[in-house]
Amino acid sequence: MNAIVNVRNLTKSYGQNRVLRGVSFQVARGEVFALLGVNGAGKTTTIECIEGLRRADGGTVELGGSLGVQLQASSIVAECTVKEAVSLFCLWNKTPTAPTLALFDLEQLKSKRYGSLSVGQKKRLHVALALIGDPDIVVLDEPTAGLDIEGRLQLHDEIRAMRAAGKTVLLASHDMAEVEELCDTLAILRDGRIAFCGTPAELKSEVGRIATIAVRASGEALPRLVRTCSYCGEDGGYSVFRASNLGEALFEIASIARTHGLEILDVRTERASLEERFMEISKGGDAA
Amino acid sequence: MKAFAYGVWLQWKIDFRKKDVLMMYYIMPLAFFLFMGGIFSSIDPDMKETLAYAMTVFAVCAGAFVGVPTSIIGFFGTDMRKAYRIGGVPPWTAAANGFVSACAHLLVVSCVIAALSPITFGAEPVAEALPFLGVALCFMAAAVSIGVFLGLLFKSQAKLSVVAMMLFLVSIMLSGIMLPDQFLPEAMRTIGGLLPSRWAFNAFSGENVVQNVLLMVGLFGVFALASALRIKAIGRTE
Repeated sequence: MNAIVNVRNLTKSYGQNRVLRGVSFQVARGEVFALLGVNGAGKTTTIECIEGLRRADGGTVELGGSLGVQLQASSIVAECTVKEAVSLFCLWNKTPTAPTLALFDLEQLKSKRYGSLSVGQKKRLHVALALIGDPDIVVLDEPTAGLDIEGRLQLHDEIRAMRAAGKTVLLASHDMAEVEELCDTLAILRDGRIAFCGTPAELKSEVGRIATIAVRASGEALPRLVRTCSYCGEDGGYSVFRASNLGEALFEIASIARTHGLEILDVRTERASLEERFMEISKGGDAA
Repeated sequence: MKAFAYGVWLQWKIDFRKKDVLMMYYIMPLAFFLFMGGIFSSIDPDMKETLAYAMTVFAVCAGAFVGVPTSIIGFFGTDMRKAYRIGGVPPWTAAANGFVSACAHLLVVSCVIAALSPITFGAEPVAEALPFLGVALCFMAAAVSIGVFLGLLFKSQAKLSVVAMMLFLVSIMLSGIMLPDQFLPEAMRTIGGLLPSRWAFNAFSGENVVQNVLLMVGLFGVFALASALRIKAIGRTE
């Protein structure tokens, strides 16, 4: 793999709290890579260690190109206009202001003060600032958090444009749908370690087999007799089971009903979603 | 250099857009000047000789000890510094821009006070403009550097406000601008002798000018260095 970001065995603690316990992953040149995890999983700490904003306790980070960063909690002086902010950042980076203002319709906002911008407009500004100097690697920490649908879609288009321009994008998110739509590779953080690393398709192929089965049967014996899936409880007269293999589970239920003279009154099945699989891995399901 | 100069100019413009900054740099000192100038002159006509100096000391203390720390903590106590750092804008420039801009504002208000004192209250005009400006600048540098350091030291706005207000009140009460020295208890006079506001007032009045100026310059050096070390420590702890 032609890795442009190589993270090896990153560790970081805040006092007694061990946030990162040996995080390792690689990002290939030109791909969109997502780092996923629930709140508190260590996404932002990992990102900040990669950016150099935070000093890791152990491990290494190797970058094969220049970096542009949009932080989760980016902020600028509220009384500063968009043009002034862009000018300041461009001057310090020795790049012209006009190309950055031309990005993401910022030209229309140039006289507006930062404090009066909407959440989406602020995000666009911070992503534009991250692109100053035409970096090879763009790090976006939860770029669509707080955005409405339109803002989210616009930012997704911008991320696709970055990839088309040959940039590598490292995206931290807890939005599985967004990741599924945009990313080539994803890694799920759990308890300070990578619990899954692969493509969305690989994650989906695991999901396809998992299902929830709700069965209404005569008698109450069914939950005690079923072995191939786990019993989750009763819900409105239905016994609910979770199965890692839908076909096998349905076959067993039908066999048990026939053997024990139970009448199956109704069966409902539901495939696990990618979000459910993500939550399962994030909170202690299968490891990578 | 161009980027730094732009940052200073931008800070100057932004200060005029902030109501709290305008309050501490201009409105409060000028209001106090207009209000107390009349009172001081009528209580003791001799105070007209030093009215411009006294009000300048007040204005600088208000701006430096109450105004400056607030804007510094507003940057260094938030994620703004990370956004600037990651964007290639060195965080120390926020402190430096704030320092230069604050000194510029305080210089303007000092000149306004010096110009208005004879007109409004029949006070003695400033004896010599250049020495007045020189002493004023040294005092501003010392006081604003203390203000910057305070803003860097505290993480809590509430605690900072208490300390800043205490420093401001002590500085003006014990500097000799409100009450002549002889009315203060011995202990207070001793404490007052350690304050840059007293050094500035004495220098303005022609007492031990060189010594007082050197003290203020020295104090500026100490707090400038302390601020630089503090900024470095803030960057290291991340």
